[in-house]
Amino acid sequence: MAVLSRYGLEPVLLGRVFEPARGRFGLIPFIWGSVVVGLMALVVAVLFGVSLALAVGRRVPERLRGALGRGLSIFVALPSVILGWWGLETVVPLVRQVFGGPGFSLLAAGLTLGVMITPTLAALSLAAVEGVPRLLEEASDALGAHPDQTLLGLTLPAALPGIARAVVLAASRALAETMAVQMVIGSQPVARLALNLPGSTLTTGILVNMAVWPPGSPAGQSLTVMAALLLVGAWWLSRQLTDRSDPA
Amino acid sequence: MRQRHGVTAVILVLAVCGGAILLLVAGEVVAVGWPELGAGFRAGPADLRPELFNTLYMVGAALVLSVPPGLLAALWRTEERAPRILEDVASLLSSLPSVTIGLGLFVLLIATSGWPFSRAAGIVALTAMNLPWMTAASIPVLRQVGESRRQASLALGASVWATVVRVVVPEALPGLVAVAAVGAARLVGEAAALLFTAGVNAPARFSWSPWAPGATLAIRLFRVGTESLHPDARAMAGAAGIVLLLFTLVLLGVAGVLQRYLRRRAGIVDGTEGRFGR
Amino acid sequence: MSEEVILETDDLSVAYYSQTALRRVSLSVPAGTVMAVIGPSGCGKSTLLRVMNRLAERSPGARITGAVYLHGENILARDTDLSHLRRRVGMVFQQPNPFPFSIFDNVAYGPRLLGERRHEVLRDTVERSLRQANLWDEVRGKLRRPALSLSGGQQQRLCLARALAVGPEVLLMDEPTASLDPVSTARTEELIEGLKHRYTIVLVTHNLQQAARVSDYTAFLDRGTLVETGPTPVIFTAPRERRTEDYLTGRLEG
Repeated sequence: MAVLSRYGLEPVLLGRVFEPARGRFGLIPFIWGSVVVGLMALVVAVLFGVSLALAVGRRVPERLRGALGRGLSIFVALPSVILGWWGLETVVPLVRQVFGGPGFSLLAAGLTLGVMITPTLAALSLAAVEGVPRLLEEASDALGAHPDQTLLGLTLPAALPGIARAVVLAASRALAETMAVQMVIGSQPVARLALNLPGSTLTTGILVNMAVWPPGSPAGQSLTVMAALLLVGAWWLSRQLTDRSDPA
Repeated sequence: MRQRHGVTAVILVLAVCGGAILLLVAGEVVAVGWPELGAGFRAGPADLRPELFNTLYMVGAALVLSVPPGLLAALWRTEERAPRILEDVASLLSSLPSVTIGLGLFVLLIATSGWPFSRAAGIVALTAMNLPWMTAASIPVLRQVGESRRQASLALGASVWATVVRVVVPEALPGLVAVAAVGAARLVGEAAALLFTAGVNAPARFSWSPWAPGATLAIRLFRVGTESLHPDARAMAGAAGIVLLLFTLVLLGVAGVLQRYLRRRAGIVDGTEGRFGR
Repeated sequence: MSEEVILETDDLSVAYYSQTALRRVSLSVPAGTVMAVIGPSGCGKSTLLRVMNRLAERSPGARITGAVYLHGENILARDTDLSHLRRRVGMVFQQPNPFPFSIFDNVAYGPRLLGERRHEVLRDTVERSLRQANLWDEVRGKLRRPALSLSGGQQQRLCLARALAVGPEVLLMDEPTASLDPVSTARTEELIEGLKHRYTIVLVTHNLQQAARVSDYTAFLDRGTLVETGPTPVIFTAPRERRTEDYLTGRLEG
């Protein structure tokens, strides 16, 4: 990759400015955006997704469980452009109103993406919760645990390996998502701490710049570097899945 | 006694909120798009039919091109003990951001080889997306086929190929249908890989040509939702959203019915049809 | 052997939907003894056990009438604190069911429910309980290992230690050796012998020899009714009821 040899590994990977027209190809804005948006999305999705899994798996009447589980798995397949459009309609104005700024922001992207990966996380966690043997919960009850104590002290930890897998899969969806983020993030290649201002992620950076810069040019090559970073990220996440097989 | 049902209460509240937000997403699409839905099926600026046709055309072609080889690759791994690297690469590629597939094919096909933004380029992109998915997701389904039945078939003198055709695939069929359906749903909703391969336009006049511009419903929703200056753009995007939503629902519904039918025919009573994460 | 009655059922009936599981059972368990409950499959043995710590009512369609007294107090009363009750009445299940945690965390589970957080206290409780369950020597120094890495017999003794760690007065054992090999079974029986001075034990078993070996009293249940109860030697050598005799001589099974 010529861009790396010509401009050096460090200025590209650690450069804080991406201005191809001026010969600056720093990728930090995109890396920062991907990380911060992904983390926000995970917080949202874990909160809602694990709650949904525990509620549907253990706190909802038996006859509703199947229907709710199926409903969740339908939302898993919801096209991401629909989520992005909903973010545009709902989340962006909300962020603008509550936090100021243009609304299009890292925060809006994190929230929208969080809602998007919630069904994935919930459906997979639900399978993990349903896999906890009733016999164990009965033993916990027989030791005098309150329903809440059994849920938090036994069901949740026993389902944790499966929930961890769900979180990793949800994270890899979040890292890979492009459209839902692009529609609400405001698309500015700037690394900012202020979450209510626009930003950019690796995926949206590729999408926006793909057709602008000729493939052979340094800018075009920096997109290849971004794609390689995504590949490494995806590879690292999939490693977490195989390494974290259940104990015993 | 301390906190009796505090945890349960918190979890139920969060779960209800989470569920409500998801329903709200679908509800908003329907509420906004409903007034323009009729216009989506008449000639005019709101006409959705070219995009709907493109979606069917490209997803259909991509499925034809990717499902059989994906399944074969999976079978090669499970039945013929192909090297593990095949499985690892497939599962890595299936979690690869689709925009990188878009980038690669844009460079290769459009920028270098001079293809137009077209259905053909879009089909290549969708095929490249679905092939690793089909391979990676089919492998665990095939693994669930009982080893004893495989061995029973082989012990009767059946070849590996005959065992695959008569024992393995029939038993795995409901699960394979689920894998293919989730794959198809992924393709129907895909936009990032298509934006700069299939392009953002749909043909003005009906055409079967693979070189016609290949904007899909998802692309239209993105384009109209973010860029259009048309006064009814919001509702037009919503209408595209409704059709996209219905498309996905029908796809999953048909797959569900098919799975249940196949299960019943095979005499499998257990009703836990595939819940797949992507 | 003290003859003070610790646990007593009075006119106890249980039905699941329209199916009767127990019919008007009145049974007294003297403190510090082992009471064996025997009878053919489906006679209501397990249900009887599960009423005594009120797990039975969780089964769908369960209706329970009558009374169960623990130290003279009706535990079927609506305002009974279930957590408190279940700490006083421990249970060991038919299948070993250790939690997917470490050995230590399994035994410490109950004390932690009670809010115990001090490590030294937990450590002492864990050691004492494991000693009582005759498991300490085998797992000492391996307390951080996953409980599921233990053998079946060890797992069952771990479950016993887990139940003992909350300091129960009564131990309910639901065919605790049904899934164990003969050696583990013998060890478990020894254990029951050793525990009965400190705890009152109600033991459901399929195994008549086991009932004869370890119990002081025996109750014979058939199709939900209590046919006969009395000191074990009497029941096994000179039963009053014809049905008991038939069962003991193997004419009723099935």
